[in-house]
Amino acid sequence: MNIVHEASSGTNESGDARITVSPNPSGGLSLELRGPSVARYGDDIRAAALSTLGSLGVTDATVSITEKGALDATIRARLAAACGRAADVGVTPWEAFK
Amino acid sequence: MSRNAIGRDIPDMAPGFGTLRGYGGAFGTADSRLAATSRRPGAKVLASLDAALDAVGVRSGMTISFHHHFREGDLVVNMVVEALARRGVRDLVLAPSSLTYVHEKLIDRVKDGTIRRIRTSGLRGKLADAISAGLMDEPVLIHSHGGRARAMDGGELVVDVAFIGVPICDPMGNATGSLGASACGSLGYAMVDARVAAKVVMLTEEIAPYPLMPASIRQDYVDVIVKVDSVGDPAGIGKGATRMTRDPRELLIARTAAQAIAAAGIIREGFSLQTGSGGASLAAVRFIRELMLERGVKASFALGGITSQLVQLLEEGLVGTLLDVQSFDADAARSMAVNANHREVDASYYANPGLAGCAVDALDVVVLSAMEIDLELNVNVITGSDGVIRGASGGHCDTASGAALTVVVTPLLRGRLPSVMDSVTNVITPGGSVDLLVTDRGIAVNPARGDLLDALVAARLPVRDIAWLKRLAESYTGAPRPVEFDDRIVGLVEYRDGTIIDTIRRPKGLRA
Repeated sequence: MNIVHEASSGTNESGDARITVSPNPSGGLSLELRGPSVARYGDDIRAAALSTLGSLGVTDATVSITEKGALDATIRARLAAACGRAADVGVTPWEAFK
Repeated sequence: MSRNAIGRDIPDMAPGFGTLRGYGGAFGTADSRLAATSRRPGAKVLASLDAALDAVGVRSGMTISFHHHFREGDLVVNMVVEALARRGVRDLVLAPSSLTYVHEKLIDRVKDGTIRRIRTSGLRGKLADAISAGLMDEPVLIHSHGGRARAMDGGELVVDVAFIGVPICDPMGNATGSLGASACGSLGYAMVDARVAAKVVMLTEEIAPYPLMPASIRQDYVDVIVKVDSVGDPAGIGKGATRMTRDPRELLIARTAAQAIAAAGIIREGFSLQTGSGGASLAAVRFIRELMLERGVKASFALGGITSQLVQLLEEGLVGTLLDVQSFDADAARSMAVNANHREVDASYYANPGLAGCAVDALDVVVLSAMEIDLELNVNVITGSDGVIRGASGGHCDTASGAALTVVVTPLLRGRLPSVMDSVTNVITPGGSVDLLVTDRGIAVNPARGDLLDALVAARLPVRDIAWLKRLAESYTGAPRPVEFDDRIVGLVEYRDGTIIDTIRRPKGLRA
């Protein structure tokens, strides 16, 4: 999946996350994460995000996640939606997720 | 033998009385507290804060105290500390009953050496962040409300000057928190300061004709009075009525808590209660009220931070007396002024474990909140999930220790963070004083309370093992990573009896 412009998904509501995906001019993946769960669950959220990007075949992107207590499933769904929008892919390839 | 001021011969000694001092004139007693000045009303009213600081002689190294009855509206702490900083006073020990978000200016006064040490019930906002990151050379001492009163009345915490902000007082220093533009209700914490401090400076917005009665702070404790433009911002002191939560999860927890309290046999004629001011703890009042109406029973008293919901119980005749150490909203402040059975009590009466009796020991039930609780039922209400200070000890451990039944209420998950964990970040209240944990997914009972377990099971309430609750939470969230700390101790947590129950360390990577 090729990220061609900036796009977002999600909300700032409790239990959700707001995720913005944009092209990364210097190539590779750059992940920024902030929110109230980071101290305890930052590693888990990063791992969920990276595995989602891997499943979607996203190799070059800047990803910004502001979480408000989202569980991993929410992180995966919001990130997949944001990537789909940022890559102008109409239908998210959900079958890529195990 | 010597002749006194009216010409009578007085012996130098008398058997059993030692040396005698001859009368020196109607206004001539040199040891009277304000001998040099008139004692008429108004004589202790000074023109400015600086004049007051001159009069009481605040010097470097002294311990100064404040109250937090103006909560997030407080203007007094910053005003006084800034004035002392301008005068070049250093190394102060700051001993307020608590501090809030509005006190971040103190960061600069720690940095410039005006403040050396802080003892407080709570810390929040940027000041708390900075202290967690190692701002201070000496650790902050976190005390409970009862523990502070114990330290003060017991002489362990010696206050050189108490600065007491009030909305209104008379020219002799009789003051109330119930009237005036910045009315805050009870002055329960400040009453102890007034009693024990070597000097008392009263800062007031308004001066009423003498005598202002009933007085929360008495004239005989007040050395000087200063009229200031404002002691508090009413918007931060308290809203009209504390709002009851409408969050269905909080209401579920509150209802379950009330049912558990009923099952424990507490809701009977003449019982007594205390609840917190927020979330499920406050909402429990609503369901306890319904059970009281259903059973036709009344409570003898409600204690603590008083809210509009407890005032409603008083005015409906469902509770006999409110004992108010701190009024949480304007409804409570108004009620104390008009309801004879809404009584102001000081912090020692409320919770001091060092004297011969305090009101928490008469409580049948207390409902308390928790940020974290562990498998041993230890409760944290001082540090957040990142290990940074953002809370207050308050009366948590005092009431837990005193009440016959201590109920802790919390949602099992806050966002992604489980409330139940292997070991809490910091302990304010020891698990030994907690009887029940009520969550939205079940109730855990202290194993030492087999009687409670039987009663709750008989009432078909959802009793669960606390380890089961923890596993359930982690089945959604995964196991939380422990916060890592370095060796720097930024805070000491004092239990109500003066012993140290825990230390607060600096989270790894934080720097002041």
